[in-house]
Amino acid sequence: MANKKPVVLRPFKAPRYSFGKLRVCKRCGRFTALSEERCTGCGRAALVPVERRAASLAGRRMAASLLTVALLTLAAAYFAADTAQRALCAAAGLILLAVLFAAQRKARPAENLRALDELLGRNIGAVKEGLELNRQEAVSVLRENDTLAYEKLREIAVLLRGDRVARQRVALLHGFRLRKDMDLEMEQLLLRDFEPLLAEYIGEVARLRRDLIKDRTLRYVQRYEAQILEMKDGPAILAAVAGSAVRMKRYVLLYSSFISRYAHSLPRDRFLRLHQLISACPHESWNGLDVRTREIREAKYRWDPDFG
Amino acid sequence: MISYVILGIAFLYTVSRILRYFLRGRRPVDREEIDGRLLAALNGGDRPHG
Repeated sequence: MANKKPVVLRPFKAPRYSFGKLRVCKRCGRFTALSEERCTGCGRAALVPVERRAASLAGRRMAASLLTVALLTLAAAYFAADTAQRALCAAAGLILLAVLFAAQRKARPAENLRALDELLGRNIGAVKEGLELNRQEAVSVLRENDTLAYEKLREIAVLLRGDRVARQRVALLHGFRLRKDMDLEMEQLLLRDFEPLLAEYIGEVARLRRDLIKDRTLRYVQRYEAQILEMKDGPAILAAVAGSAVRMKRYVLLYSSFISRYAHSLPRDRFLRLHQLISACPHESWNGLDVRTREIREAKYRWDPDFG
Repeated sequence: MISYVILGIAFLYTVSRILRYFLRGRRPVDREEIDGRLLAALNGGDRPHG
């Protein structure tokens, strides 16, 4: 804890859809997930959200259709033999334009989304390239400003959810002094394999923000329980995670054997919560956890009135 | 005569556009689908585990 750096991270809200983080340069077509004002490729302030870009492309396509019909109408009127024919062509053309315009207005939301799908599908290589450049940019500022590097990686991680970015974020978080009021994340940082820094982070999150310890984290901890136990603070990490799990009955039922192994190390408030959960539902199949809880209660809290 | 031919082309073009909007509207793409496809393309085989 002593070497950890106190940091202030800017608040971060992940968009509902990952493409909400993506912007594209109207000039050079480079994609970015970072919130810079100017495109790092061409230096122009021409970055727009991909959804807006797709809507503009769809609008342009629709305008081109209208223009085509208008030009054909004009051509028809131009080649008309007499005034009556000209008037007829103009009127028919106007009706076609009106009908097409009405159809376009109705189809606009669906067309915008289709244009977005096409834009991303067609440029997926450019999107990957842009995100890789973003990642390199984040890594390049790591030495001078690790907080900024973390913030950049956090933005990129909305789209790049693989282990590489998550591992870099975990390594950076390891150097920060975590606080309860921080925008902490958990499930997004889980890796495929065992990582001691991640295990330490899980332990800290379990102490600071129990609500972030959910199914996937519990499964991760259970999978690498043996490796965590070998760590210096391993038992404390596992006890903190077990303490977090007892906040929900579902977790207690699902991870009863895991909780049972660390029930003796739970702080009083967490053990009381476990005791109350089990006492409230004595007929559930607790998989031996109820017996273990009774034993611990007898041994440690026998005279405690709250455990009556 | 030629003006009627051009008008016919304009009519067919308009109908084809409207038909296209209609058919696409029957199988619309939603945001979840786009999001899922994008994430799969970016993280293909490297999705988060746990």
